[in-house]
Amino acid sequence: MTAHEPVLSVRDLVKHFPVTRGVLWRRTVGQVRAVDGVSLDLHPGETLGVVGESGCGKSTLAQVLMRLIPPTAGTATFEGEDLFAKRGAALKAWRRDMQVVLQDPYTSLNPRRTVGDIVGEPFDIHPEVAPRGDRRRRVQELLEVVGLNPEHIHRYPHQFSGGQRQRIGIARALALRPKVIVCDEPVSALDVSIQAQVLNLLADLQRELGLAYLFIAHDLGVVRHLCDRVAVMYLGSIVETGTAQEIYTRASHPYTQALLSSVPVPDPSVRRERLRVSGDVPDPADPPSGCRFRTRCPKAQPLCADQGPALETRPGTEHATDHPTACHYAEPPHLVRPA
Amino acid sequence: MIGVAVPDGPAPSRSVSRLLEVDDLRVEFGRGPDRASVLNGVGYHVDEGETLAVLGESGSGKSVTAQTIMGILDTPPGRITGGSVRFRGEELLGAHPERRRLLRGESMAMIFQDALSALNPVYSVGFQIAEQFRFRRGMSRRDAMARAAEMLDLVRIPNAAQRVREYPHQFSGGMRQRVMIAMALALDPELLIADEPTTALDVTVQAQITELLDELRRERGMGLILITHDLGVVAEVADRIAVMYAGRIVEHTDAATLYARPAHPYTRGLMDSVPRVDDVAGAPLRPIPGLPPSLTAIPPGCPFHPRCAYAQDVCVEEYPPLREVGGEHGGHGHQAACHFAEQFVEEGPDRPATQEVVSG
Repeated sequence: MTAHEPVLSVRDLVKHFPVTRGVLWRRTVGQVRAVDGVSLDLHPGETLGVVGESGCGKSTLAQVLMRLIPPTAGTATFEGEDLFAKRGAALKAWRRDMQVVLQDPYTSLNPRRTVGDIVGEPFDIHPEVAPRGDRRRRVQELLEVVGLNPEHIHRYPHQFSGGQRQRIGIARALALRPKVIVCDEPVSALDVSIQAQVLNLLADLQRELGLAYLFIAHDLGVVRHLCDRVAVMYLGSIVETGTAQEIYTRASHPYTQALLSSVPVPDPSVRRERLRVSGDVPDPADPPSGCRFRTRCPKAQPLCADQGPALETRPGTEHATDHPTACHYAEPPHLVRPA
Repeated sequence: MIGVAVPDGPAPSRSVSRLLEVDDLRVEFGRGPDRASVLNGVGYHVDEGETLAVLGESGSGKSVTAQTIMGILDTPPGRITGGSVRFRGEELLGAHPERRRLLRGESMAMIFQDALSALNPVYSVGFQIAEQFRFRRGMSRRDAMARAAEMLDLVRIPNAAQRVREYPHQFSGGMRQRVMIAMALALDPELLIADEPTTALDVTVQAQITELLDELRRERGMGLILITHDLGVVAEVADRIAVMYAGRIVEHTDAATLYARPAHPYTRGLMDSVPRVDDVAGAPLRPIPGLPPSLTAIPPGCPFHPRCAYAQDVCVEEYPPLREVGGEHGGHGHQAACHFAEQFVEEGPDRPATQEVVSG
């Protein structure tokens, strides 16, 4: 998989939102650093998981990469072309290649339009993909692909359950045969038994259609199940990245370790070492100096306040890791003393 | 369908006393063709100092049961059509509303999933906690406020003395949940019902709140009913677990037994559906096919049979009551509502080779 050129390549992406005061004389009093220097590569046919807690910037990242909001700084290329330079017809043509599945299957579907209209709408915008006479058949095919009854093309979203609606959202994303699908928390609104159905569907579709997923989620179990590689975000930055195996068995950033040890395992016979972090995520408008995690980190030292650690493997030092980690004191989990 | 009296669960030890007993509880919503049978004979009990987890997916009736116990079920549209709820032996269904009001807060309290909407945005959190001390304990404003600050300190909110004057929006999600716990515990109730208390929280904060609840329960010898859909949270803190499906309890046993030897295909299906963070093999998920039934049209016989890979003719015809699982691996108060419970328990957690369950 990694032998190919990345289909999507992001370098030092920054998205700040201004914080303003005043009504008549609106002035900017600060910046919310939602995404603050994120770099990642997505290869064809792979799934890259982006995990993090609320407010870590993972959804803002998705919105910037979907070209829904402009970036503050940084670059991104899609199949070698500058993504943020695309305008007019080129931008419209690119949108066929990158589609999105959203979290809430209740608000992301228009309640006044039939399923046929919703799944067929991409063809109205990009008529070159399917000739008019062919659309109904194409929509029915899509419904079948996602496991819905093609006869239900004239039904409305309220006639479907949450899991079925999410399937409608996936069918809509598949309509233009994209190369990349951004999945923003696609299963977090669903019950466990239904969630598993949708996860299996996403995995099947990837195998059949060679899709690449940028999979944004907070559920670490779901991410481990579906993703080839994982990037862990905290307060706008990636703190650790690697293959799923590396992250889940040899996490070396204290945040990742705490995150993993906080996830309850559905098995009372498993008793794991607990590494707890205290407090809440700091305000992204006023992040701590140096390492962003230092205010909650059990290992924080004076160096952490002075100097933000780079996302690297630190070869040749005692804190060397086999995958990039943004921590001065990175160490594999078995070296970690209980906090 | 015949109402089946639910026998007591896993044998209670004699030294603890029974706090709450729910028997054959039945609740309906709506009338005529829209009549939804939300609870169809739910029974469980909670003893002092123990945690009962009620596990179920949306619409299984776990929250409605809790609301009925607390006496906060909206009637109408809800209608309690049968059963009994006894707190320390006292029947609550049909009791005078004033008596129930007195019990709320004093003997039993409840916390909810969404702390932001459960708290009043226009009063300081201290005022909202202090209300109980003023009206139930007759304290002065000042004393009540001081007690409120102590409560915030109890739930480990830093700077409690200052923060007691702040408003709900000034707290983070995890801190708001702590405020709600403080409010629920103000009058020192014997039973706390926590309805999805950590569902809306991030995983690191979730762990903090789960541990806080567990600690407070232990310190105060309080009974705790933990309502959740998360099999992980349940595994960590529950003593006993009741699994609900379509307004019934389908399995009830202690936590270790449930995970090691589930006796109901639904329980097993749930476990096979969860992608686990400690999953090394990366085995494919085996989802439960289909959807939970509509509560206006619950299938005859076993309500789970349309989704069950092991369903036989008897499952379609005959409703399996919740009963003690027999056989070599049964007993010890392990109850399940499945005609073939013994068979499942024998087979253990690794499912026999059966037809591949297709995602539907």
